[in-house]
Amino acid sequence: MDGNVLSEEQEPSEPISLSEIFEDACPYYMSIGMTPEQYWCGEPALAVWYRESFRIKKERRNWEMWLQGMYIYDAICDASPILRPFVKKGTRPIPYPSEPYDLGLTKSPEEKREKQNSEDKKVMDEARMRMENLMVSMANKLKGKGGNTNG
Amino acid sequence: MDKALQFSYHDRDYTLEFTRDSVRTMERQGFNANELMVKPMTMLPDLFAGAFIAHHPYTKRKLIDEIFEHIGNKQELIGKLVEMYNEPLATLMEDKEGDEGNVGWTATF
Repeated sequence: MDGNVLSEEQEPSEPISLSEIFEDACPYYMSIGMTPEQYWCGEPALAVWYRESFRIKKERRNWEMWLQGMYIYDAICDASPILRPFVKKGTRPIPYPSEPYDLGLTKSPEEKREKQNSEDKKVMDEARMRMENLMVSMANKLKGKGGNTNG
Repeated sequence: MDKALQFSYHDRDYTLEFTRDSVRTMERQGFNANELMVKPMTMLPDLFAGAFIAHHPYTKRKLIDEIFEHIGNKQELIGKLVEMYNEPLATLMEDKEGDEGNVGWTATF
C-alpha cells in the first residue's frame, strides 16, 4: 500500500545481539593482526587503528607488486632487440640495470652527488685513456710512415 | 579516542569503560540495550554497573549502586554511558563519510 512505511506484513525483527556482531567480526580482526586479547578486552578504538594499518600495508604491497611489474616490463624491453625474428648478427640486449630504481628513499643528496661525481670521473678517465691510446697509435703510425720514407 | 569515565569515590580511583568483552558479558547476564527506553529505571543502573566490568570486575553491586546514587549530573552521565556502550560497535564500522551517494543530514536540536 502506498504511503505505508511500516508494512503490516513484516514480522517484527529480532533485536540485534552485539555479542553476535562482535563474534562474527572477530576472525577478520585476527586476520589483520589483532590478538584476541586486544579485540575483546583492549581499547575498542584499537580496531580502527588495525584497520588503518592494514589499509596502509595493502597499499604498500600494491606498490611493490607494481614495481615488480615495472622491472619485468623493463627486462623484456631491454631483451627485445634479440627477441626479434631475423635479427642482425651481433645484436645485443640492453644490459639490465646494475642497481634497483632510485626511489629517493635510500640515498641522501650528498650520496647522490658523490655517486654522480664518481660516475663523471669514470667517464672522464675513460675518455682520457682513449685519447692517450689514440695519440700513441697515431704517433706509432707517423713513426712508421716516417721510417718508410726515410728508408 | 578512548572513551572512558573517571572519578574517585572514598579515596579510590575508578575508570569506567566498555570493551567488547564487557558488552558480551553484560548480554550474557541478560542486559538488553533495547530495553533502556522501556525500563530506564531498571536498565540504567545495570548499564552503569556494566561499565565496571572492564577495569573493576570485582566491585560489589551494592557499592556500585551506592556510587550511582551519589553520582552527580546523571542526565549527562546517561548520555556518556550510552555513547561509551556504543563505542565497541561503532569502532567496527567503516568510516564512509566521504563516500558519494551517502545521504547528508543535520540536526536542529
